[in-house]
Amino acid sequence: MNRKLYRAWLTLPALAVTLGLAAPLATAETPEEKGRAIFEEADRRNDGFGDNQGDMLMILKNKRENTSEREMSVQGLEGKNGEGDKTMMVFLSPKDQKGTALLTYQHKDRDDDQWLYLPALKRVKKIASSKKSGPFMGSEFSFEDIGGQQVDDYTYKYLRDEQVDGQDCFVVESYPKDKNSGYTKVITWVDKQHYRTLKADFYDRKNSHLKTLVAKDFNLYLEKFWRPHEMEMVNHQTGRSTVLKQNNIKFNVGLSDDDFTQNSLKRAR
Amino acid sequence: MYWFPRSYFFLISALFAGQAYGFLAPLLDQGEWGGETGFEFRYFDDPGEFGQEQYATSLRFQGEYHALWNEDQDSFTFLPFVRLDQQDEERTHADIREALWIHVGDSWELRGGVTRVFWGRTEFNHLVDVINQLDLVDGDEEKLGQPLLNLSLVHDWGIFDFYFLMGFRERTFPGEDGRLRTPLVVDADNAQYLGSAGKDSMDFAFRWQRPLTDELEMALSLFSGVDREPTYSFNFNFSDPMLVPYYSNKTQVGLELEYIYEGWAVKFEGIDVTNLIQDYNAATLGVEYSFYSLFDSNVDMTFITEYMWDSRDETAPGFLEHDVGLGARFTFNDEFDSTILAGLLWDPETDEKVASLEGERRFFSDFKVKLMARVMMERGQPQVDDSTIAILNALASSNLLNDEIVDRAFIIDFIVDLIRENGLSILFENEQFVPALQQLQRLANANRKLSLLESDDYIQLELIYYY
Repeated sequence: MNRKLYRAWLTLPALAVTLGLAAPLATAETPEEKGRAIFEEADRRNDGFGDNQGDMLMILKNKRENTSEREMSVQGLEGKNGEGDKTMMVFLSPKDQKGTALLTYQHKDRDDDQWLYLPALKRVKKIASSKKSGPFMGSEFSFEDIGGQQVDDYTYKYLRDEQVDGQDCFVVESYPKDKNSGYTKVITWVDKQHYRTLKADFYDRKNSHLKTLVAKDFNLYLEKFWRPHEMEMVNHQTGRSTVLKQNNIKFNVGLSDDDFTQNSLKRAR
Repeated sequence: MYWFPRSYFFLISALFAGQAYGFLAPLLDQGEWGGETGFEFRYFDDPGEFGQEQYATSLRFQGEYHALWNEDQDSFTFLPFVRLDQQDEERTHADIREALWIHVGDSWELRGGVTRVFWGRTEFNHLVDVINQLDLVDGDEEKLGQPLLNLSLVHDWGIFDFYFLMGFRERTFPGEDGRLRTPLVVDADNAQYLGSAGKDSMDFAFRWQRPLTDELEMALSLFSGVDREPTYSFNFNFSDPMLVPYYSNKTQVGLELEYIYEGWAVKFEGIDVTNLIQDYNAATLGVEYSFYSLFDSNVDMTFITEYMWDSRDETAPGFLEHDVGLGARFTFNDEFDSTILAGLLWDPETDEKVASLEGERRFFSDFKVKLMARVMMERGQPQVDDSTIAILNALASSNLLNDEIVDRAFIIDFIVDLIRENGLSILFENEQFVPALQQLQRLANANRKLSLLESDDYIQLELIYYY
């Protein structure tokens, strides 16, 4: 368990995606510039969330539709003065994992710092940050899917406009720069009105279609931040899938740096 | 069995007595219970050297109560523990692992009650980790709850922790019918104290931890109090020969360093110890490398290598004085959180080796199965054929009977008296005398420490239910 955290669920509208600049400008852009502009706008629209918290339920399904569940609670604090965000994730179930907690300091210019607390040993372990493509907690989401990506982590190419469930979307292809990424490309459908990721297709290192993400049940918070209450990731190669549900999302709950120290990691519940 | 130091009660009274029911109400009303029960089965490859059974079953109960109040600024955790063992009455025991109140302020925390504290970085041994006593009957790394008061300050320069340790707890040891024990049983009920050490000792500890660079973390610690690790002496009772644990004070300065970059981790723990018996230094240096998504699977593998060193060399009480530890941890990243850990401890000087394999996996969401196997691969030869004179000589020149604890002249006088009373024949005929000396000599042979456990290869299966 580790690596780039969960801020994504709470802070970014799923995979760090969104829209380009206003339409008039778009005419003069190359597809690469337009693609990047879409993601820059997505990033910009998420500025100023302050702090937030929420509960997550992850439902893992295998080919025979057997399911297992994991529950987590997550708190996030937006970075100030150019610093990255801080995230605390606590595992509530399965019961043998209860009290296991993960603290992440995101950094814009270097690898994130991450610490894992193991309650049975009362031990805090620092975690290496080079793990990206592995599955998160046995789910179909990988660490890089849910990590707080930066716009600069990818290059982009705008492909076309297309509708998803009757909503007009931009379709953008992005290519990870990091050689540790599990993908050669990701195709993302971003809705034109709110710059939310509605759907994404992931291609593995052999460039074959690996997974599809669908986000739905979006709710608006503080009249500004859209959050999907349900996301489903389907793995086409294994037939497995994971549903991730978010509940009790709250903004401005009064969190501060003191809630994101190794001391708070040890008493997280 | 267990006991509470008197200070336990002072502490608990201090925490609660001054406050009226108003304070206790949220503690009792708003909490929630959880817990786990473990059923354990151990099977040993050989019958016990001293007639112990080849198998043992054991039940473990652990409750957990947690309450939060005062807008989450106050919390209380209670963690009672009981183990029932089929064979070893010393392993049947109870403990309060935790009864801890925490108050959180701005950039500080006050913790009071009973708890366990972990310090350190390395995997094969834990040199700097000194706050708690080991619950040795329960496992190599299990700890007894320590009564304490801890002030923790979060500052720009790192986290500063001050500990006042109220009372000292004695180590638990397997009994006569238990396995994984020394040839002579340790008389845990009659522990002795040297100098000013004692059960009611008030000890002090301090730790400062901070990152030095983006990749390097550091912690500096200080401990002054009763050494949790005893030295041993013989009770000189040949009809009921036992080892007596001796506890004494020590002052320890500890340093931890951990450097993490990409898949690499370099870890260091070093201690400098001053005590009544023998000042010493010890250090462990470890390097780890992690391979993620092994062969395009979901499995991660971390390879661990550590070197352990102790300036006391073979007179160190443990057997990790100049040893190499090798380990491989496989994390399957599956829905069952399956892991496997393979480990090998190797002493290059004596070629003693211990290999272990541990695995665990969850099933039916509330159950877990843990499997462990441990094998002593290179065994020493118990030197039972030596003559009594040779045994006595080896014993007299060994470090087991430490000068500070038992004077050598005393041993010689004792044996001379014994011969005067019973005649010389006691050295050869007595049923207890010669075997007891032989076992003592085995204990004193520092180069063959593992020979003590030579018939204790075992597998252990534990089924755990969480509720």
